[in-house]
Amino acid sequence: MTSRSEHAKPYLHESFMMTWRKMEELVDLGLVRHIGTSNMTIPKLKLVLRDARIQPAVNEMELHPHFQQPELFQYVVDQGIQPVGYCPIGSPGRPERDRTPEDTSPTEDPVIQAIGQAHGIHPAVVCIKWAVQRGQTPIPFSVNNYRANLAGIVDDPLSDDEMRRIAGLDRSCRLIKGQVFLWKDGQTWEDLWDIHGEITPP
Amino acid sequence: MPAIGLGTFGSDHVTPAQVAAAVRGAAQVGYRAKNSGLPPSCGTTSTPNKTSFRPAANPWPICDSTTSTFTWCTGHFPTSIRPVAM
Repeated sequence: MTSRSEHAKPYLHESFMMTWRKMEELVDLGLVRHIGTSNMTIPKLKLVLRDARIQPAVNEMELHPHFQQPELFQYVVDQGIQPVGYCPIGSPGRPERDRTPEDTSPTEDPVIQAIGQAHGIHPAVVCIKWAVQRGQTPIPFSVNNYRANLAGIVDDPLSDDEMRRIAGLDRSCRLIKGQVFLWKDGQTWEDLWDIHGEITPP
Repeated sequence: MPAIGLGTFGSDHVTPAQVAAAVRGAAQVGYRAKNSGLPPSCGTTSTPNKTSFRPAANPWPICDSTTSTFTWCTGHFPTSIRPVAM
């Protein structure tokens, strides 16, 4: 278990919005085209959408077949925000500090593997196809297989039935738990993610 | 919004040079977006070696492209968004 970052701090909305105002300025100045959020929860995002002058264009979040975040995904889409999915193939190369015994691997899922065999592609590419066809923008890290990841989204799409089968694979298995960002002793990583629908008090 | 982006938030077993080569190669095969784990401000990250990616990964060879970057939640300060001299 990694120790906490000495700079970790709780989400304080007023403070966050001061930073967001400066990001809005970047848009005003033409320095960036869009601004966005990452790792938001529904209660935090509701406040930001209420108070932002320029809405987030994207929300980056962990998304793969074993962690589909259906509620947050739908909320983000309904707000006109594009979901960007990190760890789209389950981050098989993630550091030891981000591994726990309970973690599962979408590319080792028998359903993903069977679909891959049916298409003659690697299970990782199945995950990429699913992501794009679902409507999120996956951002797979790859130093060797980026060509296959790109090719996978332009031909031979998954069938509706295959998409439905993958939708049934969700295990609510968050891989990047964010322990390093816990801001005080005695917390568990779940405290970062507002799993009860309210922002965890500071 | 591009349908796919090349993640460049590396892992601890890939070198900055490998990431840079992947960015160049990906652009050549048609990627138009990369998502960078590089914070726009230095010094507030939890991974000290991250800033070492900056010089290598920045020379994105295609102009018609999308680069996204972020600041960590530990760096959410108005002063970390835009350097004074810019």
